[in-house]
Amino acid sequence: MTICLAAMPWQSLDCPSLPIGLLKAVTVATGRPEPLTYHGGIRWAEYLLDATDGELGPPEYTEVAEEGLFHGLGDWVFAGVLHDDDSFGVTQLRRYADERGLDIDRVTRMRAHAADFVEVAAREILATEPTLIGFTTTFMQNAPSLATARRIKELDPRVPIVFGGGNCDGAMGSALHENFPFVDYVVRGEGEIAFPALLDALDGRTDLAAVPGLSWRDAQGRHDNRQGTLVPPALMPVPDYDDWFLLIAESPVGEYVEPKLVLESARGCWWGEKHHCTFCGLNGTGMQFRAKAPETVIAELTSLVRRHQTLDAIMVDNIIDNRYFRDLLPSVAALDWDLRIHYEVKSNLRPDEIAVLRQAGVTHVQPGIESLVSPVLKLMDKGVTGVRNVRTLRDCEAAALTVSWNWLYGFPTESTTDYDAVLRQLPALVHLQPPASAARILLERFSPYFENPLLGFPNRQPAKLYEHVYALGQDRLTDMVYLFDTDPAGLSDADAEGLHKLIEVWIDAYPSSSLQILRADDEEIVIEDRRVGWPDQDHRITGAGFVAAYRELENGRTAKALAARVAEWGLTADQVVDWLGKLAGDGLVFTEQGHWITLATPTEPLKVS
Amino acid sequence: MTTATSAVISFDALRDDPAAYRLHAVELPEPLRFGQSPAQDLDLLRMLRAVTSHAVRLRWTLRGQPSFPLHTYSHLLPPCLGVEFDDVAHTVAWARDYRYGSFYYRRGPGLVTIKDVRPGQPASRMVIEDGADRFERLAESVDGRPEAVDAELVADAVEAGLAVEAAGRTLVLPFRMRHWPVPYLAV
Repeated sequence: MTICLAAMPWQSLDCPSLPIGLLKAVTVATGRPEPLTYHGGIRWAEYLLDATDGELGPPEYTEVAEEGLFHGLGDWVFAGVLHDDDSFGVTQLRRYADERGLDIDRVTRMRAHAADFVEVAAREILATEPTLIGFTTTFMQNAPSLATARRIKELDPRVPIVFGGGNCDGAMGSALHENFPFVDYVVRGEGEIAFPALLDALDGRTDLAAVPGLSWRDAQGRHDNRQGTLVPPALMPVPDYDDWFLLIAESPVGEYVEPKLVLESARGCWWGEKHHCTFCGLNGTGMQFRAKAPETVIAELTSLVRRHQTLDAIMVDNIIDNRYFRDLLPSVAALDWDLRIHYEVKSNLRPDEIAVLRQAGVTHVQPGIESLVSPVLKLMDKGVTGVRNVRTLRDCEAAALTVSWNWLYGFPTESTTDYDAVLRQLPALVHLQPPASAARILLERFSPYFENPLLGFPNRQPAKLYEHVYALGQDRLTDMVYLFDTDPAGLSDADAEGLHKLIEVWIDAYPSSSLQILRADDEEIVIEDRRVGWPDQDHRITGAGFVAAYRELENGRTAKALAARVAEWGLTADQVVDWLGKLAGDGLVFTEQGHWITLATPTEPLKVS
Repeated sequence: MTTATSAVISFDALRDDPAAYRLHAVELPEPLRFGQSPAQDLDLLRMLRAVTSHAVRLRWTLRGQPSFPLHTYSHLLPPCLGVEFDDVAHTVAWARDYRYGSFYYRRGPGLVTIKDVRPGQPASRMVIEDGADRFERLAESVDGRPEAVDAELVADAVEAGLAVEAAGRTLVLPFRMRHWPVPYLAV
């Protein structure tokens, strides 16, 4: 059997497809020949470069890949080819873009080349003479993958086509199989066990009915096998990226990107197993947390770094295993390699954990901060407070870790009164890393808000963006899509304007702002204030009692608890309260729901714009 | 980067342990005097390379000019002030071309990767495999005196624009990337 595995746009250009790397490895482990691969994202970027004489290329591709998801822009580029109708979705997208003020010039120019590219891609894939073609699809890979699959079927109806990936999880995979008859098989759920089982079935060794999570057809009609159990860590192979690194080394796209490794040390979410964040659907049907042994992770990391001479690694885990702070990261640090690693983490990081991350070369974290408003964080079931999140921002800033986060709003029962006190303090935080944006939450499949309409979103329909992607009625879309429109909850758009403006100011001010402890001893702390919007000045905390109080306050305290801890210095509770008020007036503390925390950092990272 | 009030420290203290001043604002009491001899310039540039690598927020004053072309050291932390008019002009030129992380190397398993995105020349990335350990040793050498067995390595590095030489001493130009900036992919 000659297998060709394809990852179509909008796979990131700077890293290989993890699903393809994993499926290659599991296929080879069955004793079969190594699958061929088709990296359609790179080919699309190359095609655009060539067809537009450099006017459209990797930078434009990446903008669509990173910014187009929530408007279906990448899918729309290929929607006309998918539906064999040049005009499909054009009017709908224009109307959609007008309503939202979206710039669609770039994707419109790209779409003019989509049909020719799909023709090329289909023929290049068929030129590998495959006896099975697999498409892996996540987020905006559906339309380009379906368009290419449809054309392949026209050119050679004999070649079976299988789809898998995040877009095929649960009901979405069944619906995709039902809606697009040229897709012969869909693997729903994780592929490490199901894909080899499908190969066995196609080889006649077993029955298709025995393949976990497979959607398939026979003379009786369509069948959806039950999804299998989740893959244990021991069966997650080391991904095989050899062909991708060879390709990117030769491709003109290589001049635009720095290749990165993609690794996976865990699947699922240990927090979500106990407290599923109410808006989050990212784990799909695979919430159960399964982490690889630390020694396995370091073996994979070291072998892939050596093999591909690449010191940048993206860990795709949805949350880091807490064991790794003790059992993995110190070993990575001991390598003394100049790694640059990304990890997603829980937002209640301790300073010692931040230090371990930094020493190991973890330079970028995504802590799921989401908000600084405690009542809203409670609605999310995040298990942290606003003060705790500010502490994480402060300590990551001091450790020079890049922090990515978004401010989410639109939660049922939230109100402007929840936000008021926090928003008034945002100008004091401009020296800490701002959110990328503020955004109303979307209703995601698999999230508690989706699964339980009683939580506040009773009315839902497939998101409007799908109107310019699929020529399917709502009844056929409902089970196939990930995002849903619903009645807005919580803050109104007008209510949220202030938040948006404050975050814009924060983003603008951050590169030029600092609030740094210059000197500190037992009698005095000097804080240099160079925040945009605040007067340049040095603040002095003087006297042993107040210095001790400041040090206590770095951990976050209530006024009462703080007063109790510094009573030995002769400070009364009233004095402490007065002092806190003065610190607040100078923007040196953040306070919410009776808790206070200091804002100055002992060091300032190098900021490069 | 914002301007911070600096603590004055001695040249020797900074040269001997730049890591101790990581991310801290410090200031040298005297100008760094360049142009007296190429060998002395190399030593001063070596110190600036360490300062840049350890992300010390050093404020320093320039006197004279290094005996090498600007593009060989424009990736190292520039002066804030110049003593004479010409020094001020050179300070401005140096600061104009400086961008943190424009020429650095990274240590990996049996390899060294080098990224060069200095202004005014084609960007390049390269990987050193053969002799990576010797390259590192040369790069981190305190005095820049290569061992006899490294003659070919030095010649190759100089030819590739990765090092400069003077009076039997060598300075590997890219600094070791020890501190990633925010945002981390900006360099």
